Amino acid sequence: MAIERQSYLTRRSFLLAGGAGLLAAVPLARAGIRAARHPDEIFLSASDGADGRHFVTACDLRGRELFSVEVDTRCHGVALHPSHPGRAIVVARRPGTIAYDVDVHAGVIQRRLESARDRHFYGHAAFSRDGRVLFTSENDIPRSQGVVAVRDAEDLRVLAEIPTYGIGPHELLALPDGDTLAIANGGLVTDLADGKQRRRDLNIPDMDPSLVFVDVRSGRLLEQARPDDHFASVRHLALARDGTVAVAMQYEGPETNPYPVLGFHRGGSAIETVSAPHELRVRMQRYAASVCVSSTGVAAVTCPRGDTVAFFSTNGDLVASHEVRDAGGVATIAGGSRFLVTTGLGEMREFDARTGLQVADPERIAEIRWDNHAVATLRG
Amino acid sequence: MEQHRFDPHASRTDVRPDLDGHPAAVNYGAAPPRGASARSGWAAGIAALVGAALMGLSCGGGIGGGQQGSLPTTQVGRSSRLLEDLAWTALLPQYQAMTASFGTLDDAIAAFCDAPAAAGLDATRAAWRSAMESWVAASMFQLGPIAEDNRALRIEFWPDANNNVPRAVEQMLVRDDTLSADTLARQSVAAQGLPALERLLFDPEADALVEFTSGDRAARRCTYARAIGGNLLGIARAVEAAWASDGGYATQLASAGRGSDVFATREAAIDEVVNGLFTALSASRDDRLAGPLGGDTAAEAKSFRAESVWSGNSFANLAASLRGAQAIYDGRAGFGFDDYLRASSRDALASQITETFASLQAEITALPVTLAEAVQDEDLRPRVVALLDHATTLAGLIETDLSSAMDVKIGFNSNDGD
Repeated sequence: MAIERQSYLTRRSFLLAGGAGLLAAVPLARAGIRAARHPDEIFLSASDGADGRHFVTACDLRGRELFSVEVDTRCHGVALHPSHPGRAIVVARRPGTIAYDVDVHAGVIQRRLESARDRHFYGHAAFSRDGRVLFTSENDIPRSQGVVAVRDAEDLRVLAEIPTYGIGPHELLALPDGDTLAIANGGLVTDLADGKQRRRDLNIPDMDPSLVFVDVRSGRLLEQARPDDHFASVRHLALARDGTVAVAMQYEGPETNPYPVLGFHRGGSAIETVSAPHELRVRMQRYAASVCVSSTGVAAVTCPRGDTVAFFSTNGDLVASHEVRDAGGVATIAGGSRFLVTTGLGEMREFDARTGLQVADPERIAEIRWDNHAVATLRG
Repeated sequence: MEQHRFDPHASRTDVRPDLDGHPAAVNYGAAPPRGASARSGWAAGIAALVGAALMGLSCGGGIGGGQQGSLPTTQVGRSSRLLEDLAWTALLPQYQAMTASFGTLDDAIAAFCDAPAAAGLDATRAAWRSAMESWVAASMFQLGPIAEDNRALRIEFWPDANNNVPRAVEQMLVRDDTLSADTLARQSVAAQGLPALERLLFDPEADALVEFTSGDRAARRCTYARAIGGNLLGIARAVEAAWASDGGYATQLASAGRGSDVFATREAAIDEVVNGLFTALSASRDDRLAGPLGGDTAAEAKSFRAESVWSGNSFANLAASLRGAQAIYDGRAGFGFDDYLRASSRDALASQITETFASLQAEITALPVTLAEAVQDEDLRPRVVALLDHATTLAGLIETDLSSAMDVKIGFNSNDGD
């Protein structure tokens, strides 16, 4: 299944040649700065090739592709197993029906998971903290209601299904208590009859997005928090050490309202949006793709429409922002001291997780378009 | 395509559209009196206010138009002028044309239903075609007020893979509840718009005139048609007002990077516009041509997928979609992307895109039958395939050549919607 992209062949042989010392002077002149940098860390992300084919790709932090496995459909989120850093579930983007169980160290797809009849995925999954179950966010198609399938982590069989108390669930977060799942309910009904390319949303005027906390054993709703504007579709989540949940949103209301699409939930029923200067809010273009919180308590949010990456402290204050074209994935690396940001132009950039300042030059693989989400793990 | 040397601001006070989506007259003089006509006078009044607002916005800055009659000399100046003219000269008139044609349609429905007769049905059908085409032209720009409140889907729910429109129309006809423009606005989007009205006016299963005059649901049919007409006009007016109002979308687009709440920079606005144009052209090609072609042979044709299949208006819609796209590209009489390209010594590309639009229009005009018939006809089908190929060429010119010339990246994650 590991089909190599034609266009990578030349680059790969170039790298091999470089390793053999032939062309070493060219890359090392630049690579010297970062040669010692977290050499064991790699990241995994869905990607597209320049020719539109779809892949799951692993890459090291120096921009060297480790493998690309071709997949049938464009993928989105990556769920890393908490105790097996070589195992990840990569989910087709909504409204896909396929997920892939990837052996990151071997560079192969071990298994292909299909959603049940009358269900489709929403591009995200998460393992429980103990690694024994996998949660997938899904659509109960006949009822157009969100559900989470609770699956055996070994054979991926559905053990139970719990409601998300909303429509269009997206990213999931297994909280450290082991019992609670945080779920982003985007609130949008996708028109499935329209095919998978142009995903029409049918209920924007009535959308009711929320962040919910659900007891995974009983399926009971523990808490439901709504943004202060019902057009703010709650899509992506990240957890801070103090339990604060960072909430990345996509604003479906009037374009003339530069809604700040990052908020924090600190308990209770409110999602408090960040205090960003008006100019930055306009620049974010009402659309966040991915969010990540470092151990230093800084949240990074990517805004590909606005070509912006912004960093906020979890109390909501702006730390830094940068123009980064088509910024998509963001992950913590180097023990949480840095953020990795990937882009649709094939770039990999690193930022200091405390200051939000860019560190080192960006790497780039021109043939790759990184999808919205990246997850860091360790080499095998 | 800049055809005139004129003060770019003074001209915007009176751009009165005709029914097929083109400004019939560009009057460089004073605004017409308010209420000059029931439908367009209001729009012209707003346009006058907007013209005044724009003067304040870009005068004195030395950018975006600058000296009267001269082309902007800097890149910043060209970008500003491009966005101003896109907003005021290319797009706002398109929405004004839509309001006017929806108004004519609403009037035609009223006249026909007051005294149903063959001539009235013909007039209403003709008004429907004009309304459809003005909408399709406007629909090629998908940003801004049209994206709110499900407006685009409410005007035209299509593609309709699940036959939602016929079912919704059926349901609306058998019910006896109160039905007005306001109550219809809260019903299923499939019941609200131009395809639903098309179903009534060009009923594929019955004689529409008989149904409107003596059918057992004749009265309901008229009540429903009137509600659709009023609902459509309400949407068009709301969209136009949201564009033309003080601080509205035209101002937001024109003032990108200069205080706009929507676009932080000119580049961001141009990026969105070019991405949007590519997206609209690709979707139009896929839905309007690839869908009905079905597979590789005439036997695989899916003629039922053609847009406006009941009225047979598919090719006219396709032509309108290209006119709408071309307006975004060349800015009509204003400073468009073609002018920008020429000012950047990319004359060949500018002409190539313009010529591709023109040859597509000529190919459409030359087809003697409806799209639904053409895709099933062994002899004519290759010409539809050629249209598809040339539509792909056009989308490619926007995606690759125009975006590279404008330093725009066709987004990957930014177009994802996830």
